[in-house]
Amino acid sequence: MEATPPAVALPVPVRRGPPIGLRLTLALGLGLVGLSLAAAVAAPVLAPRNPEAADLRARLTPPAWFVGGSPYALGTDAIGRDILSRIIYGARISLTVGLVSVALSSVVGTALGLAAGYYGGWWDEAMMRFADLQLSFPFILFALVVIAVLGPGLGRIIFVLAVTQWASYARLVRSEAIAVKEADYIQAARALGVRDGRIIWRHVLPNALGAVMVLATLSIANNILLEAALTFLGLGVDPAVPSWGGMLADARNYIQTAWWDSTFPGLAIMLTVMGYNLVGDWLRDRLSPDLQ
Amino acid sequence: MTRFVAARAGGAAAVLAAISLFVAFGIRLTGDPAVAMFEGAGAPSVQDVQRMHQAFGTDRPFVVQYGAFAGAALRGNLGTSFRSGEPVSALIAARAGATLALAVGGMVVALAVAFPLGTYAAMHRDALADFLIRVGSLLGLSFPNFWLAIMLILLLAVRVRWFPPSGYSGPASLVLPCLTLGVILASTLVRLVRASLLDTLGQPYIRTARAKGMPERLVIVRHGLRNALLPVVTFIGLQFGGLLGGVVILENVFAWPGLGQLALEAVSYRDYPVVQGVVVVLALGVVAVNLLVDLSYGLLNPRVRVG
Repeated sequence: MEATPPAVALPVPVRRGPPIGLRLTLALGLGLVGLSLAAAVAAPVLAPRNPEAADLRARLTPPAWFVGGSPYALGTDAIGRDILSRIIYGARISLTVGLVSVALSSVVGTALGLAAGYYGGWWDEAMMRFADLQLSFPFILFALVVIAVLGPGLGRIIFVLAVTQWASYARLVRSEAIAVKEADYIQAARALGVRDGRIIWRHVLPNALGAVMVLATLSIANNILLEAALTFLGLGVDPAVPSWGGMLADARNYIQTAWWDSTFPGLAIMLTVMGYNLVGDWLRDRLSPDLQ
Repeated sequence: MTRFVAARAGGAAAVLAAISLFVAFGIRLTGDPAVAMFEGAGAPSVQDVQRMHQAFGTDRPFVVQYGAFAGAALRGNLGTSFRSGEPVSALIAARAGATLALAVGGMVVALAVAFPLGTYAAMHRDALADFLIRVGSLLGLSFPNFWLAIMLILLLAVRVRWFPPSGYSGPASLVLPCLTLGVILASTLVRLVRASLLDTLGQPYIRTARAKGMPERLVIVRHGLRNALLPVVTFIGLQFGGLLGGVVILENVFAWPGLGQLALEAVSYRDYPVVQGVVVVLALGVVAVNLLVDLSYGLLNPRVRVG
């Protein structure tokens, strides 16, 4: 007769469901991301005025709800351009920079990281030395020099961000690849004669994808902040194009007289960035809780 | 251990060499310092520009120029500014204090905010306060630092005139820049303190400490925080490069007489020696801190030493 193990009530940690706050924050995050995307895509439809049209008679007009009789919802800037319309158009710059730079750096970094982690050897060694070098180069100094050489511009700022960030993805993906490449199911696939390319694509990549998605989402937020900061310093996109960082740079001389000029563009940056941060946080909780 | 130190120090030196080469080469592609010199003074003649180049030494091949710069820099001489004729090291020394004050002040604010809040959140996990602290930190993470600076100027220097809006005119000038930098830094730190402390509080020795009747406050401080400190300190060290980015932009917003402003001005004047000097000195600071973190890690955790 078999001895039945004594029924001991192990202190199983009570797994509480996600706090209500978590679902609320996800909804808020998706809402903010959706709003910024809508603004960028449908700018010509949504913007009440031409963002470039200056009206010197209406310069620094306060917002409608602040001073009665103003026809401008969020006021005007120093040469009488409609701030709301410029914010809506500015979403195009921020989101283009955020999404394209992250797409470039994540795809390139993931590909290099997969190759380095899966094959190892001198290629891995060389890649990782190069990644170390890239990661220890302070971003602001790199951006300062590169933009001084190339001049400001949308493409250049995307280039700077992509070049400085591929290494984070490469490192992340490499470590995931190393962790799974000796796993039984991959050994089995190899024994069955499955080609390396297919193993990487079907088995290694999917394992790394969760972590990549988390990093990418949070990087979109970060890159929107970096672009705005560089543009504010005059090292970002062309000052003639409506962008949030550029609007704040223009507004800094009127901070004493026109608070709305420097308040709303910054609010737009903050809300958009917060949207991506909220979604990224939720993804992190879901996909890779160990990722810091 | 000696090999580990040598390898890491060698790596740091290589990074520094690569950065100096990159900067020296890059800045020479941005434009002619001789032409920048004559800006606003009419078109210079060819001879004038030539004489300038001879005086600056910019008529020589790049390899010679870089070699001269690197050789002198290793002996502590960073050259003289094209624009003012002053030694670059003197220009840097005059500005370094302001940058250091900003960085240290910001860090102090960040630690003073992050440790109490992070600890409180960890002790009251999933309670309302924890949720609020986490939301607050996320909000802080989403703030563009320069916009937070502008908003603080708007409220605390323009509305109520408590602090000077910009420039450096005594200790009160430090408040707004350090507050801005500190709040942004604290947003990241607070999450790290919370996560690290939660991790530590799950350890068996914490249960032992509690089981033997140690007061909870002592458990947190003596066993929890002390052990949670390591990842936090590492993170602070590794964040130094990012901190530098914040410092450069905040110096700009607050018209702060520091190294970031010096670099931005020098770039616009094509003042090669100043750009090279400032970038190399700033990079040296970042690389040195990273190296220290790396080495102390190796000292504390022998497993890291391999490779």
